[in-house]
Amino acid sequence: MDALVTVVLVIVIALVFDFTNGFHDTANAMATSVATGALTPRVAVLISAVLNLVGAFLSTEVAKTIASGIIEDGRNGLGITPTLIFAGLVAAVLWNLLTWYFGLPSSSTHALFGGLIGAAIIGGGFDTVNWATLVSSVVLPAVFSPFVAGLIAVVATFAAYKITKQAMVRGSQTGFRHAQTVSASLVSLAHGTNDAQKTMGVVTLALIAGHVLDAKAGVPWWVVLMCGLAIAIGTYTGGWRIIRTVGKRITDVQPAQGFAAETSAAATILASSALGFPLSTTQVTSGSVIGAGVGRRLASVHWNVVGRIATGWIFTLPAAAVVGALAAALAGWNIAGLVIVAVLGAAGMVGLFLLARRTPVTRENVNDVDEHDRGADAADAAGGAETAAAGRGAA
Amino acid sequence: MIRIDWAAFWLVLVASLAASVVIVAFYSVALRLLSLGADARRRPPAAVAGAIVCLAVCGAAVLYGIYLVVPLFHGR
Repeated sequence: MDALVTVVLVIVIALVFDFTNGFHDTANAMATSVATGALTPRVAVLISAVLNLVGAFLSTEVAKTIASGIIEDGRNGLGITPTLIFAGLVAAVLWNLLTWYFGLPSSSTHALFGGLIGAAIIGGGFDTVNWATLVSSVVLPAVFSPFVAGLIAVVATFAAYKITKQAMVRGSQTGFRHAQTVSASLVSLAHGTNDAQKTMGVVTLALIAGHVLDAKAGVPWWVVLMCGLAIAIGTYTGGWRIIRTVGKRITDVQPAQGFAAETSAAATILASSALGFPLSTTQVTSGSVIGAGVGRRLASVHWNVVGRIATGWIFTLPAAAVVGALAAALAGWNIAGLVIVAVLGAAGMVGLFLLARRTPVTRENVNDVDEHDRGADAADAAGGAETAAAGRGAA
Repeated sequence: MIRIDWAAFWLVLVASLAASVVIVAFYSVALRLLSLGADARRRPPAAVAGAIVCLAVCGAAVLYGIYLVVPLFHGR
């Protein structure tokens, strides 16, 4: 009975995670299109949601391999229990919501792996984690991705502006907007084939670990359907805070830049999955937006925002691991501990939502970046204004 | 032992760079060609033909992208 309760809890929290994954990553594909007005915010999230749903049904290849490589099998078969998976997922959801609150585009995959790794360490010690695989297939790609995508976007943006005389030739703004829509849609589709499957893989793993499914079983159709819907609904809800950061605050994206950035992102993601060097979608798209800013004019990139995003990336995996470990320690104690983790987790999620409602970012105001939103930039500007005022006063 | 597949890394870098630059450059050239002439109704036919060729290259690239995304098409 306890085991069944745990498995049901895992499925619920996994779907919540899938939802946060969707709305966290809407920005990857659609932020630039929303920023340039190539698509209205509502249409952008609708296209992205549909393509994510379609993508979820296209393949279960990633789902089959998920978690099997990074968490080692224990001596008694599978080294991870549904309780540990539950703890890891709670950590991943909390971290996703926290980064969303701060408007940071962070990798949902890192949050997921971090949470699961923390939980697995509590469950079976440091040996349960395949550290070499972790470094070579998660950490290093994350370090390389933004630089690769950024470099490509710099070259592509430079070429686009050079050829079209700084996008001043007749029809170029409209033309770039159309192209941007196509390239962003491709990024959405690629995202759907990857990210929905990560949750499918985790749910299937929990079903196997809870002895509901045979270890050799594939991903059940209802898991595919539920995960596809969860990520699509999450995408449609739209993480507007993150969309604002990627589309407006890293650099004020123009149509030619948006097109160059999304094309670079799509090409990099597709090449990396086709040629076998894994790169992370979030890092690739953020990197390409930064590159598009640099390719036009170096000064137009807000490096303080980039610094904050990079800091978020560095902390994502370890922070989720620590929370995952704490949750696993508490949940592994007994059924009461599990309930406490569930309640605390839910309280944390609701708390972050309520906190976010105090400064809501919606599809109506997603492109408004005022003094207040710019944070450090605004502070710099205000400082400059004060100095100027002081200068006038002295004169 | 941590092993980085540098060959795969460079291959991904070069392939994505080439693909992105080709697509963006061809599309930009198409826009430039379409902007020639006094107005949209009086474009030089040669420029329009060139633009169509450029757009066709971009369209082919998008189709190839969809082909890569959908595993059904290449049996993986």
